[in-house]
Amino acid sequence: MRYTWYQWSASVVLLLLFIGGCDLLVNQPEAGTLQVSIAGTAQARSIGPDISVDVDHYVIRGESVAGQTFEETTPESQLVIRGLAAGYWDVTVDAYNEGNVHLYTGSVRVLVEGGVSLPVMVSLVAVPGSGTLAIEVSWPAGELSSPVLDAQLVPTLGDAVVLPFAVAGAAATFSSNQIAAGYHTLVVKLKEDDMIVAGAVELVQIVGGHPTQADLAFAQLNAPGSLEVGVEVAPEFAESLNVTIDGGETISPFQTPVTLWGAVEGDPGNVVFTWYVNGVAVDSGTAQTVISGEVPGHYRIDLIAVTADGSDGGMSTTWVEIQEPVL
Amino acid sequence: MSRLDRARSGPFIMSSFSRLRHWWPPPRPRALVKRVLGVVAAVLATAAVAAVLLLGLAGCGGPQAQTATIDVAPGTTAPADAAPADAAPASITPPAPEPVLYRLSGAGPAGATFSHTAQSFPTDVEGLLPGEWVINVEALDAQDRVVLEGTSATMVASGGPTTISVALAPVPGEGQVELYVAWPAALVAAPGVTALLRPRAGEPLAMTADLQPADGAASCTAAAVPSGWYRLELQLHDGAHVVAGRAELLQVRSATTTSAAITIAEINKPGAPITVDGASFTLYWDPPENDPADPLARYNVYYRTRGTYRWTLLGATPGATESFPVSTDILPHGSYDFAVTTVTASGAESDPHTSLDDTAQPQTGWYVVWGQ
Repeated sequence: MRYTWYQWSASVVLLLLFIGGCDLLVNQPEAGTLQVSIAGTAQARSIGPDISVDVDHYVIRGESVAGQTFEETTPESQLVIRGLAAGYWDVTVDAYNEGNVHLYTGSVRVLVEGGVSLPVMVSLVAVPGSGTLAIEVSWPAGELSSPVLDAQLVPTLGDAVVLPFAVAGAAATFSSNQIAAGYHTLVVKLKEDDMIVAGAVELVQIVGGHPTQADLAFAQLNAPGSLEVGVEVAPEFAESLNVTIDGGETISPFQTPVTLWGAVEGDPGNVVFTWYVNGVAVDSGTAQTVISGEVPGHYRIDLIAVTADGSDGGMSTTWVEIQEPVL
Repeated sequence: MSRLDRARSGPFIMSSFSRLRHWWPPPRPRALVKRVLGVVAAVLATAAVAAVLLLGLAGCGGPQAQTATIDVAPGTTAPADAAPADAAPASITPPAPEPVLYRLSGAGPAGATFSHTAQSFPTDVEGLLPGEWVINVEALDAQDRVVLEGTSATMVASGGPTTISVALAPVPGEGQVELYVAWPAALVAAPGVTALLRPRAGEPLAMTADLQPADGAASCTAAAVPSGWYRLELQLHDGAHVVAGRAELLQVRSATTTSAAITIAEINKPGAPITVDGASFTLYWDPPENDPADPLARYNVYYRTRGTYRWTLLGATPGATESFPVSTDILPHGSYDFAVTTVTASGAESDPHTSLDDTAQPQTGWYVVWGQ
C-alpha cells in the first residue's frame, strides 16, 4: 500500500494532536460537584399580600472567583451541579412565584474541591424592599364610647413599630407603603379606656412592591368583669384525727404488762404514732405500746398521731394504774 | 400542832401518812381532803379497824433518833370508771386571730391591678379586666398586724361576676409560749419541771422553768418560737425521778402568746430519805381504833429494799405492842420501805400502810437509809 504525501501529513497531524491532547488532559484540574439544598421560606402567615407567595421555581446562579459561571432553573428545592472548577464559588438562589415575581433570595460562598461532592444549604429571605400594608379593624357599632386601638408590628429582627391607627366610628384604619418586606407579628388591642375589650395577634407577610391588606372584625367585645371574693381560714394543721386507745386496763396488777393499741378513725393514710408515759416518749411510729407493770404507780398515757405530711393529727389520753403487789 | 411540827420540835423527827388503798381515780388535792374525811367517817360508822400507827425510829443515834407515824385505814376502792381530773386530752392553742380588716389586692391581665379593703366577706370588686387574676388577701388585727394571709388565682369572666374563695392561713413568724404548771406542793420534795417543744422536724426547744416549790408551781416560758405545731413534752420531777407528766399538741402563732394552765394531780412519789446510823432502831406506831367484834390480835411488820416492790414479812408484835425493834440481826444495813398491817382475831389482815401513801405526812413520803 502506498501513501500519498497528504496522507502522511494528516497522520502526523493526528499524532501530534493525540499527543498534545493527552498532555492537556493530564494537566486538566479535576472537577467538583455541589449538592444545593434550598431552605424553605414558607411560614404559617395569617395575613399575606395579594399575590401568590408560593415558590414556582428557583434560579440558581454560580460564579467562581476565576470568572466561570453557571445558571440553572428548577422547580425543585434540591439540585446537583457537576463539573465545577475547584475554587471559591458564589452561589445565589432566587425564588419566583408563578407570575415571576421575585419573592426570596439567598446566597452563599463555597469552596469547591476537585473530586468532592459538596452539600450546601442556601437559606432564603425576603427580597429586600418595601411593601404596602393596609389594615382595617372594625367592631360592633355603639358598643364602645371611646375606643382606642393599640397596634404594633414586630419584625423578625429589630424593634417593634407602633402603627398609628385612625379611629372613625366603629372602625380604625392604618396604611403605609414603607413596611419592610418579610414577616412581621401584628399585635392589635382594642381598648375602652384602659380596658382591653378585644385583641388579635397575626403573622403578616410583606412582599416588596406589593400591597398587603387585612380586615379584622371583632364581633365579640369583652365587658368588664367583677369578683365576689370570699375567704376561709385554712388550718395549717387540721387536728381532725379521731385517735383512740384500746386494750388497756385502767387498773392492772403488779408485774402484769399492759398492752395498748392506738387507732385512728377513717382513712387518713400513713399516720405516725408517738406514745408517751407521764410525758416521756416511749414508742414512735407504732400503733402499739406495752406498759411493763414492773413499777407500781399511776401513769398518764398520751398517744399523739400525726399524718406523714404533718398536715393533720390528733391525740388521745388514758390512765393506767399499776397496783402495789399483794402481800 | 401537827405531828410533823411536833416531831421537828422534839427529840424525834416524826412524820405521818395515811393510806388509801386502790384509790381510783386520783382526786385533785382539794377533793382528796374531802374524800379522806369521807372515808374516815365511813370507817367510824362501820367500826372497822382504824389504827393509828406510830412508827418510831429509835436507837443508834441518841438525840437524832427518828419517829414517824402511819395512819392505818381499811383499803378503799373508788369506782374505776371515774376519770382522773387532768385526763381530758386537748391541744393547746393560742387565741384565734380576730381580724378587723381585710386588705385585698389583685394582679390581672395586661398589668392591671386593684387594691381593696373589706371588713367582712363576701366582698365585691368591680370593673376588672376579663382574664386571669391573682388575688391576695391579708387579714389585719386591731393592731394592724397581718395575722392571716392567702393567695388564689381565678379567671375573671367578661361581663358577669366570678366567685372566688381565698384560703387564709396564719402568717409565718414567731410567737411565745407560757405554761403555768401546778402540782400538790406537799407531795413533791425536790420538784423540777422540764418542758420541751418538739417540732415535726428539727431539734426540740427547751422551755425555761421558773419554779416556786413552796407553791407547787412553775412558770415555763419560751420566746421567739417559730410558728407551727409542736408536741409539748412536760415532766414533773422529784429529784431524779419523773413523778408525773403529759404530752400535748401545742400551736404557736406569729406575734401571739400561747398559754395554758396545767394542773397535775397524780404524783408517783419516790419519797424522801431518812438517814439512820447504828446497829438498830425501833419502829413505833399508834394503835388503831379497835373493833370489839373482831379485836386486834397482832401487827405484822413488812419491809422491802428500795427499788423492789414485793413486801417481805419482817416480824410481828402482839396487838398491845405498838413497836418493833429492827436490828442487823434480822435485817442488814440498807435502804428500805416499811409497812405495817393489822391482823384481827379472825385472822383478817389489813392492807399494808406504807410511808409512800398519798395521804402520808409529810406527804412526800419517806424511806429509811440505814447504816450507809
